[in-house]
Amino acid sequence: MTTESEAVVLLNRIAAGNQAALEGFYRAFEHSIYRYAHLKLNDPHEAADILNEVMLEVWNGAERFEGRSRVSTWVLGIARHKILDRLRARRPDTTDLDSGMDIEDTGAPDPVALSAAAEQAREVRRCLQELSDRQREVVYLTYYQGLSYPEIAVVADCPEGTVKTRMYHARKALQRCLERMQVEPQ
Amino acid sequence: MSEDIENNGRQSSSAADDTAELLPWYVNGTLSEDEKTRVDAYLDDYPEARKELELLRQVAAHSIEDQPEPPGELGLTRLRRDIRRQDHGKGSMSRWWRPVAIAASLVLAVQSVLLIWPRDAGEYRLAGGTAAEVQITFVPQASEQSIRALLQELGAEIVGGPGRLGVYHLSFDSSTDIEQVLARLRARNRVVSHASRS
Repeated sequence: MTTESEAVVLLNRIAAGNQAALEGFYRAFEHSIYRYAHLKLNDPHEAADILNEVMLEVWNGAERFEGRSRVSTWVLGIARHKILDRLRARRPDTTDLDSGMDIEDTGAPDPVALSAAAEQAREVRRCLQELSDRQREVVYLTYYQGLSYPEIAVVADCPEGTVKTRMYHARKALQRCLERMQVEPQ
Repeated sequence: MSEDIENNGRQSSSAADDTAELLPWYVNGTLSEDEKTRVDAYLDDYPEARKELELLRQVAAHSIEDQPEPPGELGLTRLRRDIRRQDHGKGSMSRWWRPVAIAASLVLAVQSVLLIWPRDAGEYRLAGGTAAEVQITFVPQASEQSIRALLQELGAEIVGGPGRLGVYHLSFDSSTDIEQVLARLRARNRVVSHASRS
């Protein structure tokens, strides 16, 4: 686990042109960047592209890190911009790229997988998959990346109140989904 | 805050709603001490909220399962390749070639001085003269600034190179303690990858 101070040292060395430092940075942040990109794009190849593009941007612009946020917040913000570019390219006529606060209809549930869905873990994971992009992003940034709500606001480029609102809707959607699964076991 | 407290000492419903919004970050441990205290009080006032807290703990536990694996070393190989291509594509001085190019410029400058300096000025020494010589290679990431500073600090002149393996030859005044110079060069391992007597 790379500490914040170690990450800052790596960035300073990258800014001085040290490729070994970039490789250390890559190893420290590849999981969080890749998984965040995968969450948003749902495509392993595009997620790998985003990881590569983010690391190239870090290589070319590490000196732009000003220390006003944690390194992880800064680098996820870079990733988010690149992800949004990809989403715009997919849906050029869509301005609100990840709108929608309701549970998405992801199609018919897999009867085989859900036949054993009495297990709580599986139910929770299934309900997480049914969240909208924005809701899932906030849940992911909170629990996988371990970010505070002010940090999520920075990464997601929105007010803190919006982060709380998205999380509120995610919680309610999860509750409804879990209740539905218990009432209507698949 | 006092107006947010009802007569029975509980947080008012609006204050409680605000506090309830913090529950997800109570679970991931990123709240400030003040916020955490508010949530603790809220959970004491509204025991029914513990059911939601339990739900959030489940979400926290299960949301980190089954995460896809990043490309690892393959991704790193791709990154190295793209950096090489990028530096190549720039056509001008890249980070990788900066130390080499700068050192080559220094060589050219030295050679120019050799060509135009009056022979009887006696201020320079040709390689192989009485001056002590060192052969050296620089780490690829070394900046021009760090190379220049090191050469100036040691009073070194580049008198040869780079060879095919990137070796340069440095010249020092004959009174220089060459072993001490070598020790200082080897200690600067962020700039110097190899240093030995020529």
